[in-house]
Amino acid sequence: MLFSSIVFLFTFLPIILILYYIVPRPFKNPVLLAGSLIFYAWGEPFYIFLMILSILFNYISGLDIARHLGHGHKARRSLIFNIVVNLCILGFFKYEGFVLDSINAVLPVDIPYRELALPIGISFYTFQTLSYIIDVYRGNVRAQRNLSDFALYVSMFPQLIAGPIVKYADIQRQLRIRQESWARFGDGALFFIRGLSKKVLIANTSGMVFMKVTELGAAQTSTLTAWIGCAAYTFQIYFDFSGYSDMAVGLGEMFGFQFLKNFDYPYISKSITEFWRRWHISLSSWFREYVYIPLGGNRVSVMKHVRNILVVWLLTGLWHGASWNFVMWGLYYGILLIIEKYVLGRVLDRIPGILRHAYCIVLVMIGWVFFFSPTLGNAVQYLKLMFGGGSGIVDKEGLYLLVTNLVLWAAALVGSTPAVHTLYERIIYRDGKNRAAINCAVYGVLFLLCIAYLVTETYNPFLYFRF
Amino acid sequence: MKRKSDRRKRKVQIKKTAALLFLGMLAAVCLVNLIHSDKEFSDRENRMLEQKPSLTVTGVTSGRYMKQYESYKSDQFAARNLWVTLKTNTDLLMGKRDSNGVFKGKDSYLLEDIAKPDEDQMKENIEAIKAFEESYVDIPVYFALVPNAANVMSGKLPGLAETEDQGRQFESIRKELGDEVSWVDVQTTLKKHKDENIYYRTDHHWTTLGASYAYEELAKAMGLDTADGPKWERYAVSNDFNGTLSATSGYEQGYREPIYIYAPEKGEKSPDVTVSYVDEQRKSASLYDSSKLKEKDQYALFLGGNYSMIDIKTTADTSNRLLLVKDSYANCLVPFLTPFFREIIIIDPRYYYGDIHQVMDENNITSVLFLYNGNTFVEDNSISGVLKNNETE
Repeated sequence: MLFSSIVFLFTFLPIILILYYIVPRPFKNPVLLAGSLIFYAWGEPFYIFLMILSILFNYISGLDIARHLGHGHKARRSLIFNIVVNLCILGFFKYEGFVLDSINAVLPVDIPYRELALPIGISFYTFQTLSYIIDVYRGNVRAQRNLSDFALYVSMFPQLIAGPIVKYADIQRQLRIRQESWARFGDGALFFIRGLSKKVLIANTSGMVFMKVTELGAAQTSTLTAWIGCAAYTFQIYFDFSGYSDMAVGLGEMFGFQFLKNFDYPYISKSITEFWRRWHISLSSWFREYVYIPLGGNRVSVMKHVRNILVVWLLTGLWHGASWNFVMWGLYYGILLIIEKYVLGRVLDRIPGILRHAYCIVLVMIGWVFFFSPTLGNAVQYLKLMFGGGSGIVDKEGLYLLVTNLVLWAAALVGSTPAVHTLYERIIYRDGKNRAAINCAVYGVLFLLCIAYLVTETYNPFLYFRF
Repeated sequence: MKRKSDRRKRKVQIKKTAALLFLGMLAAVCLVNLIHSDKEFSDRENRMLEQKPSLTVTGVTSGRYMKQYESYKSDQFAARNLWVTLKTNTDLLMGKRDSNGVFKGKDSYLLEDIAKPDEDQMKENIEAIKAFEESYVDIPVYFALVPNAANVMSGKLPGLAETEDQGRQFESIRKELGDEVSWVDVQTTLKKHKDENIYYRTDHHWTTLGASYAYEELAKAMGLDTADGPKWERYAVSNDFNGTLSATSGYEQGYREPIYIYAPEKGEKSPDVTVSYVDEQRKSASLYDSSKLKEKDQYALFLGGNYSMIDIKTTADTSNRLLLVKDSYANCLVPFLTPFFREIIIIDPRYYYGDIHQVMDENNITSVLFLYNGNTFVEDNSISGVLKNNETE
């Protein structure tokens, strides 16, 4: 089930809210757990069993590690066993096709395999359970003895399918003690409507423009059109992903949880290093804590540091998807970060801010080309179109896309910076008349528009003349 | 210190109100939807709406139930059409000028985007038409491809909008077909009349006026003796047509336009017709089904809509018999042809599963006409199947 769907908004959410708030405290977690399992099973009636198996395995494994803590290598062996099993499950479901394709391509063999559908959210919940297991081993957290609470941690529906990746240490206390309140609920509602609007009003509409551009042939794509397409995708992925995170944070707040911020206006960054401090923060900090620092981080020789960065970014690339494009995309960032660290750092400090913005956003957009292209060849082809290899610099098609979506571009551009939000909050929370009413009007209209866009998604006139 | 705590209080107050707003809106929408009763059919979308699925074990384990339930919920969403209108108007306000592949053009014209050919399919169709022509050497085969409004009336497209070049598409189709198939140049004819109402504003079809110009061109190409035929007079049969482009795009929902039919002038001799719907085993004495004027899709007035095979017998004083292979564009053109043929057999390959060669052999067909609009033809996936039929047996 997606948050941006009629069934979620007007069937699932009302029911779970009512149940959650009428049952007494001891039943609140079980209600949330049951709701989360239904939420997951709604989209994955089969893989729900995989998730339950993973929950049981990690629950027992956590207890086992905790029992052997202080007994030296026994705990370590248990930890390694757990990590291997978790990664094998993830590897099997996510990377089987990729690995075998690559082997078949390189070696004179042809290993047949059945393409498996990727279980939704498996990358997210596997990383969550790994953070739990490693933190138990490190003694940062105590093992969770309550199976239902542990299951809730893994499967909690607000962050189950698209993050943020919540570390167990950050939420452990809230699983037991948390405070729901009207004000927090309202804050959550505002977060949620903001996220929904980002996803439905901006990401989806940008996505349509992007689709339109990709459907044009190379011969019909001018430089302008190619950049519009790339910009449309750049907006789409940010508003989609960060909108989803906002909705997750908002829903969490409705149930009294507080999740950490996952995006912090990444497109205003002035360097790639800064970009990755602002983009998908929960993933970067996961890799930092569980891969980069254990490898030695930057407190090692330059060669080893370079190696560490490349390893982390190879894995980051792979985490995003099982294809060579994502490997390239990850390494691209790894290399950029190394260059910024060892070569460009000082130079960047000296050039004007506006140029640094341009430098960063252009590199990020080039990165997205690898991200959205189906193959590496396609990516190179698209980049050629962006850099003068298309049909002229400007054409009517490009101008049409630019002009008829002007309001969208303006909204997306402004929405990528904190300016409007900061200004809005300053006005609304300042002393004055009717601030609450104005706020309600603004968010009410946004919510209504989202519903209109969602309902229209399935508006689908049947034209008898075309099946 | 006090100011800070005041500010915090205000914040809390505003957030509490926001909570009420959100819950209030959820409750209101849920309530309206609870009261709202399910509908079976959507006039505007011209389709059956999803009904509440029944809960079965296999339905749930396969995920089918969830999918059905989701489309059920949004199909039956209260005031659905109103939400759609809200969305299209918002889009318009934001500058968007196309929706679902339909342009919102000038002078209330809605124009369907020009389709991109499905090259493989099209090649196969063209080959099949050529092969068909070759197996009936003595029978002339005509091919009339009707351009779409976005091509003929490209001046009506919204500013800067660009479409595929349909002229070039037609040119390459003509070349592929070769000289044996007689190409009827409808495009040039229609372009001469591009300032007249030759296309509906809210529908993807041409008007009867547009068809009448094509008929004149066809008559020339096929050598029909129009001097001996009737003079045509125009009658308005509807004033409140709002077509499928309006439904698809959500634009111009309130626009109403007329539908005309052309009938032989009074006093002129014109043949009687008997229209048989072969698969339906139904007969009619009229080329029009006026009951369709009460439905949303009034264009179905012409021949009652699309049927797999229609056999029109006339009292015309000739022994010529025509096989017409077509899409819905032909429906309003057929009346113009009836005075010149003793029999017209109309086949719509999208619905036809019979043996077209048997039809050819058993009915003494004297000429064959293919009539399509560009968008349907370049995306068609049924012509080659129907034409090749006897080879596969």
